[in-house]
Amino acid sequence: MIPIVFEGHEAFRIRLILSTLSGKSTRIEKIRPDDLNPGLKDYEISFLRLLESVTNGSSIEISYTGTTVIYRPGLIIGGSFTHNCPPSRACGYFIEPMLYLAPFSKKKFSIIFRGITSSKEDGELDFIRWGLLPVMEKFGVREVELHTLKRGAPPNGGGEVHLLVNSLISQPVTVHILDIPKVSAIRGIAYCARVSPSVANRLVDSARSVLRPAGCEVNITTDVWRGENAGKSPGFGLTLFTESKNTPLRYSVDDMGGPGETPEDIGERVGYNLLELIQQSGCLGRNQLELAFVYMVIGKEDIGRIIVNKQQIDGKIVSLLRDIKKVFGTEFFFKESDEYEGCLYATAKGVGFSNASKKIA
Amino acid sequence: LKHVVVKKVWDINKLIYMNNIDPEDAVSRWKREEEEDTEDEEEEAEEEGDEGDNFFQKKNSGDSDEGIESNKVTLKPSEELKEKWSEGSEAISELKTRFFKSAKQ
Repeated sequence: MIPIVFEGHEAFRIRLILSTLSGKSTRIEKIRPDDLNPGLKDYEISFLRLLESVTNGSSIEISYTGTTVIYRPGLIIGGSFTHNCPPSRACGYFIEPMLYLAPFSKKKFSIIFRGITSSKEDGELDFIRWGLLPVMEKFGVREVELHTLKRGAPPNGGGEVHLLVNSLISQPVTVHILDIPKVSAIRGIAYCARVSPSVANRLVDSARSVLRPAGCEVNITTDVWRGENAGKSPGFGLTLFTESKNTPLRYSVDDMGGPGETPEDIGERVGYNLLELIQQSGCLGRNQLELAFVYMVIGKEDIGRIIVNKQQIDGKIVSLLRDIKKVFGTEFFFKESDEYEGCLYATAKGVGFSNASKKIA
Repeated sequence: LKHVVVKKVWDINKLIYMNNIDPEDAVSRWKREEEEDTEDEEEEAEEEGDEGDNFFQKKNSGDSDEGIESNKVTLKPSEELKEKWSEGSEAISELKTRFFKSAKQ
């Protein structure tokens, strides 16, 4: 079979995920050819290993310089094991793509990720739990759990997270989300590890003061980690998310303290950015769209619709839509909304994907 | 015929799948089109679009790590948003329509 050819190091994970879901071989070329260190980074190799572990019969060939990868996907089988994440990326980098595969596996996914649990680049654990799992629920994947066993701030990490996906379904359900849900409350989790517990309170106070003008109920929990479970480095972070009455979906934003940043900086920044995110969202935040779009494509052969905000259409989403077309041949169609200003209905027909490993009853 | 303004109409559905156009470029072309419809904001937003372009190009030519793969939303600095979301601002009152009225606070 002639592999699908992609170029560049962008969207590395999602391209391999699309390839695994479709069962089509992929060849990714020109991975950082002009870089001082050409080719794959250590975390990308680690991700390839993880893919190899959750599938059966995959073959991965990496060229001598590491600038080309040929991936022939096998069946998604899941299983339980431990994955050690390299210190260059947080666990979120590895957990997120697993959410695309786990529900369509032969066996349940039960993976323990070890390493750094939060970073500036990757989704915080609380974001995955409160931002992404509800999206899965909406698509019919109900029993997903993410347990934080140990926190691990950069640079030394030492964290541990358990991802457990209990529902195995043959395909995601077709969704029609045509309304933008109203927010009934804002919630959040302020965590700190190996620092004074007052840091968590400072995060809460500063976020609350920023959110006050919105006139919404704000309820932020503090999560203080001590002793061995707090990891090897000190750190703190804040995840804010909204709550709505009739839908499990939530808008969510997260950030963590970087060098030289005070808890007040983080609290304010996350607070303001949550307001910004609510304003610029359709039924989902920008950070949840990728997952929803992919689930829509691998759904039943029926047309699914979700409402998106025009401002969410950016270069990365366009590249994703092109990649989806390349792999599955499915095009999205965007239609202007009459009801909501500045919004579009994203519609796509599912490809009728079916979980190949699921036993026929 | 001199007064007739010829304008290229961009359809987002076509733009997305025109592989010869760079994704960022496709979006900015479409957004520019949108702005012309709502004329008053045209100039400002166009500037913004250009800035976006430059911003991205800089990223590309620099360290490849900048194009780091993550679907985390890029957080804007507080200073940029402080005024927009201050008590009684237009944005806040608009945003309030997105909330259920609550008794608390």
